[in-house]
Amino acid sequence: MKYKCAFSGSGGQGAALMAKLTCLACITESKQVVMTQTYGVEQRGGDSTGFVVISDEAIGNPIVENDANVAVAMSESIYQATLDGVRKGGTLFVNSSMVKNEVERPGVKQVHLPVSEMAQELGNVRVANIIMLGAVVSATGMLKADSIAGALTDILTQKKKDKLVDINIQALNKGVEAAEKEVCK
Amino acid sequence: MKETLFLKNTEAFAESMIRCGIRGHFAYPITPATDVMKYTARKLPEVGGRMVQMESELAVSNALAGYACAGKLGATSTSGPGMTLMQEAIGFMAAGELPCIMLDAMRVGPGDGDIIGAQSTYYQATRGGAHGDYRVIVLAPSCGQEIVELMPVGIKLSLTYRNPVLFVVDGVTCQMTETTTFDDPYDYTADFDTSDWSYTGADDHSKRFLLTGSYTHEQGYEMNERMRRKYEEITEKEQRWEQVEVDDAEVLVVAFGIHGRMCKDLVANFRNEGKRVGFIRPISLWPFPNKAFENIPSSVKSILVVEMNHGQMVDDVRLAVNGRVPVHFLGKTGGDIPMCTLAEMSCEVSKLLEGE
Repeated sequence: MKYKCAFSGSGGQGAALMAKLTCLACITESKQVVMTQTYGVEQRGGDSTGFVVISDEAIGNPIVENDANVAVAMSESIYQATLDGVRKGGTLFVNSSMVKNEVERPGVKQVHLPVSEMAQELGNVRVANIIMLGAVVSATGMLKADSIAGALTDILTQKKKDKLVDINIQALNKGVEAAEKEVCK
Repeated sequence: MKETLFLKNTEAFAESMIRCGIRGHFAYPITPATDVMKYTARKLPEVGGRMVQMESELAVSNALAGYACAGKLGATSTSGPGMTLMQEAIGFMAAGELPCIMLDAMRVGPGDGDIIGAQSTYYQATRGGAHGDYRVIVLAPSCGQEIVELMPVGIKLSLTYRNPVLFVVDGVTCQMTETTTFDDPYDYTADFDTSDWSYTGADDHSKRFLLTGSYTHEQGYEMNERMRRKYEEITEKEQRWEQVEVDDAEVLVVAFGIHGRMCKDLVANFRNEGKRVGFIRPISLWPFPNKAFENIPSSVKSILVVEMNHGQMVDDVRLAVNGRVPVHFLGKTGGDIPMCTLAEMSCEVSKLLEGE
């Protein structure tokens, strides 16, 4: 199975971290993965997208060319561009706390989850990306949530931020549950 | 034991050179190659090596030559304008038959150009920027895993033939992060005895031992003839390429690096539709894999060369094909997306299949 993913958000929302965690979880599951990014003279601010290609075999084309089958839009400003980058039959996960103006696009399924509000309920808005990632892996079956949890724990431990592990794991589980409810609707 | 890491491809270059025994890395920062020296600065001291940041690329290339004179295989990593500045020393190393490993994280030129990735260094890499009848062995990996697999190959080539070896990787591929699997560390440089030609102290050599790029008329002739024989041997023995679905192909795509990698999907997509498309991906750019084109089947009615430039390798393909089949070109360079997309490549192949 091959997945082409686009994780988009505004600066600080952790879109790049979603991409990175996805990649690290792939190593646990012995999948091949490529992450691409644009690079320019500035590194901070504005919108950003982390592109990830996942495959059980060696990856040919490493570029996501407006043909993502799994995409995330964490903010209003990047929503339209992300929607345009999803192929027919693909799914776009939308942070409905931030994206207020929905656009229908035939052939593209949109899953709306208020992850920023859910994160605030957990006590830290910054884990919105992890809630969303939990929802993405759960709804798509792309990766196991446990593999993401493992990658999260590794990263936070390496950065000596062990105290943040709990809230992130809670956030991941909350996303998994939210996706299950959404899929059952 | 094999180990899978998630690294930027520049870091994969750094990690593989360390694992393969290189202990001296000379560099000067330049996007998109700087990650290599950041990585080696941290990691080389752990294994008794050193990354030395010089004051310029000129200094880097001459330090690399000096390190080689001492019988050590060193490495450098740079990009476009930096590579241009190193050409004089590379010519000297070729003349002095001094080995080294280099990476050009190719970016758009000419001049300082742009920091975005490109394949516009093909001419410079394969023809050389210094004067004289010299050659640099050029390897073009298409992904992180191939960088790792070609590192031992490059080291062996450089020390076997006493010649500079240049890895060329477009800046887009350099900045990608991917899963890369490494073998246990093994010092490939230790398999080669350099003591009969290197400076290892006065006691080991006769008084007039000389390593030089400067010759008298007669010596110059002999040196060039010896080099000619060496280059002929390399050309005969060291051509490398990958070919897929060539045997019955109607259209053959030829591409190296990232476009070569994209051909895997391109050809699979066409074959799924029952269309006969194949590809040849040169891995050694010098020596160019002419052998891959010697026996292209009669089914091939056209060849499409795709590059991240305005047509450089296409010259070598035309020389190899020698007029037997029409050779077409598709390429672009620069901009936010500095390369042809798979969709654009597919469109061009479709036109050729229809005989347009």
